[in-house]
Amino acid sequence: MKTSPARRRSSGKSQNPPSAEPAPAESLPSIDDLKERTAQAERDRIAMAEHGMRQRNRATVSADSLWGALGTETRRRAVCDWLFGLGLTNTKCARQIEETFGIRTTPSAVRFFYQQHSFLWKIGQAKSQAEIEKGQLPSNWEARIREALAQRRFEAVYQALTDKQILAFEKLDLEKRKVDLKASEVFLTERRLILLEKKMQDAQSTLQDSTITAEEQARRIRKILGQE
Amino acid sequence: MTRTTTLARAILDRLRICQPYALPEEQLATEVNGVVRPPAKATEFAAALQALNTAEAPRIVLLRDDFDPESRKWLITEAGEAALLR
Repeated sequence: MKTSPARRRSSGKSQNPPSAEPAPAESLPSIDDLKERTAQAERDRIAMAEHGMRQRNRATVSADSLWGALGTETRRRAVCDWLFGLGLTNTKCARQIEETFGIRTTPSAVRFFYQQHSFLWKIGQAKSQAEIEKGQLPSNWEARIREALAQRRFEAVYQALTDKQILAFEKLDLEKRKVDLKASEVFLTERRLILLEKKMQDAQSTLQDSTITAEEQARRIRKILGQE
Repeated sequence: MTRTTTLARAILDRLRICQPYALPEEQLATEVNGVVRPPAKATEFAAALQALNTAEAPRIVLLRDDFDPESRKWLITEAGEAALLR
């Protein structure tokens, strides 16, 4: 006959030899010890939970999950506004997201977010505006006219958002050109500096050359400095 | 997936999102080129639209504006939505 685990446990307990010596009294934990251990276990549990939470918060939000991590439509709209309206770069936008919402993300995740969701966002905005427009029209107007006006509104909002996006792109392009110009200026300055150093070395070696006369030295230095 | 299929799916997908509204052709081209690499040439895009419109069951339909004959807007049909599910 099979016995249940509970029965086996209870039967096992009852089969303890009666002659077994009881555990010494001092090895049993006191009530205070038990309380202390329980409190310690609770403290450990809380510490581990906090550590896990910190790790989760510190973890970088990957490309796929930025949309989900933002959570609410207000936050997503804010990010779209930063990208379209303010024309923030992906890096700056990632920093802004971290500062504002406490979500650590990467520029590539922002780029992915932009590529995948900007269209959805624009369409969502345009649709909602069109529905509002349709709702405000007199109810006795023909359905055909109501639909046509809603379509107009949809297109207008969509176009406006696209224009905003294009402006943001142009702003970014302009910033990139500024950076490129700055870089070329720095490059030219470095080249100029190298040339001047070379001239300086030539002039010094001419001055240190004792085999030529002072007039010859002056003539050569003028030539090096381009004054001749 | 061939280039033609990719382009057709991108067009249908964009139009599905816009439902029940139609999307002007230029904007559709811009949005499709945002997701298709390399971007479609004008002729390639026009051919894809034509193919989707002239199939046995048109997947998209062209809406013309009464006041602006140049304006071309595209709307997805039920056949187009069904094609996306395949």
